[in-house]
Amino acid sequence: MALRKISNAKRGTPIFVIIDGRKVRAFEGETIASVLLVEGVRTFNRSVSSKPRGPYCGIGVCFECLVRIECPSTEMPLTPSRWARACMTPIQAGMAIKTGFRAAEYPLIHGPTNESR
Amino acid sequence: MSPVDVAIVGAGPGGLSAAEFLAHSSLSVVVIDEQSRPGGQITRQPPRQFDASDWLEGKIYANQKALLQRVSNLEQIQWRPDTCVAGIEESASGNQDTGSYQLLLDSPDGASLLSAKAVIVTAGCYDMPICFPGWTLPGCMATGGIQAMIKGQQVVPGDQIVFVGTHPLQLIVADQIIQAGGKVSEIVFVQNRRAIFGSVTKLGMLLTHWTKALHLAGVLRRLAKAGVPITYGHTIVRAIGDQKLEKVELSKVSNSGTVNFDSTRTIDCDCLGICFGFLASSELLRQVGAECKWSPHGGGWVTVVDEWMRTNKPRIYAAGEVTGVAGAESAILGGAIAAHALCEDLGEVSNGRNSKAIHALSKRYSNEQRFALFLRQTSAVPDSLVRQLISKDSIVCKCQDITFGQLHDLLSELPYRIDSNSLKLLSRVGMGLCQGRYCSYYVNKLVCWTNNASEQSNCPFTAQIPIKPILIGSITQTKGTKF
Repeated sequence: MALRKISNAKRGTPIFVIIDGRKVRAFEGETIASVLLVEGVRTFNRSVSSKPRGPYCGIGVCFECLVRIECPSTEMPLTPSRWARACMTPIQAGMAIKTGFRAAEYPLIHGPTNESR
Repeated sequence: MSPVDVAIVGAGPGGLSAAEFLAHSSLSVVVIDEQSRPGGQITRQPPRQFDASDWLEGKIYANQKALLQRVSNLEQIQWRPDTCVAGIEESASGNQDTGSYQLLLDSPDGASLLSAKAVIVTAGCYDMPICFPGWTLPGCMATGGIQAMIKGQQVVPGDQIVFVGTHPLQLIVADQIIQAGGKVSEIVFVQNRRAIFGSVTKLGMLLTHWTKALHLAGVLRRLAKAGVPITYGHTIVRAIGDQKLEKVELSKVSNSGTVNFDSTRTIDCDCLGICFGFLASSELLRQVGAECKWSPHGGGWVTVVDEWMRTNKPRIYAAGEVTGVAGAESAILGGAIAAHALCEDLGEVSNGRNSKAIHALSKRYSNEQRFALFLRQTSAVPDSLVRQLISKDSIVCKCQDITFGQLHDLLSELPYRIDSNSLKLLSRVGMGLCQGRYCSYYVNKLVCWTNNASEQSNCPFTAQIPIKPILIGSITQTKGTKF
């Protein structure tokens, strides 16, 4: 299991996110990848042939850590969800994260989506 | 964004060093980076919301931390964090000598164009993937990725962590895990003990780079104290697990480099750190037309530069890992040299000590390059190892789930010679979101094995705009659509 280093590291304000329908407490400044790993989620998405995939490079190069996210937003009510690189995307309060999807199952929605910060 | 004189792509040690020198000139400078905070990977910072008082302790990081601190406080520098440079084009107007470049930027506010007279690309590198069966299982990670999680997020991504590879970075990251309160099950080197430490006793290298040697000694001491076993002469041959990594299979490697698949040991593992070296992030430079060359142990397709870090494109400079993987100190010196060259090329009066300063920088740069070469030789991945580790069912293109067997069969049916780009068109390899970053090394080798030609004879996947995926919504200028 992944763990948060607790000695000498003070994290940001505690906030809540929703992972696959489950409310989870995390900290401001954490990326989606950190929160998912610490919560024991390993399958972030599924490949073209449905194989489980998770974070690999940690720096936004490999695109293995994609997850679906939905952010509440009054600006863009029509297209609330999008793909995001979990390792590059900080969590926001109330963010709903969905894991385990194949890219083909969730068509990329073009046009306005939500702010990531 | 208004036009600038200089755009620096990458806020790691190389880019920061260039920015520091240019801040003393009259040129307007912007530093662009995909991450939220500057520092690159070696000085990757935790988020602003965190307070990590023991971040990057260790004398070896002092120089790089100080650089980051100084440059972060320079008022003359503009910053564009969370921003990807998706491409560079020459401006339509103006001639070659006085023209400028247009950079396509992708950020959370949408895409935009930035005009710059000159560009310094210090985009760094990423961990080189090695394809063995099961390498794409969740839990298999680049050692650099584990490091990013520790430095950047204060998270240890597993509790049965095994490192395997040829590069000593795995010792450094294992030490970081121990210091973070995590556990490391084992560190495995492909090379035998003498191949690594036999060469370390080259006295000259030890004395010139004593801070590095001292740091390594400290790392080894802490790992020994924590009881972390270090194994030599073994390699990973398989990652095993149903939906995630559960075990790894290790095999003995003879002194001549032959993998003994019968001599196998399986150990529990929930997080594997793969550490076989790095590949240069040269896509942006190749896209704008800068010349590249194949460096088998120095980062794959690296950018060709002269001794002043100039590429063959006027007013485009490259420094650091994109010119050949050589570490942070080398990047710092390279970035400074590039900045000096840029000032001279733009007719900017520098502080008058230009030639003397550059001479001193070049000497130190050559010294660091010598160490880098030594490190490369020590940690090189032999072609024979790559061949032995791959199997028919190993995935080469992870984005399209294309196996080595599929590519091999396709190639054996073709009656004519092929290159990377035509193989891409025929098989879809390289057509996924990583845009060939993770399969190009293997594709290059495969093409050359098939053609029975040298690796230099092939070419990389053609780099096109955008060099990273960009959402259509971002280009249509709609808010908040960064990938």
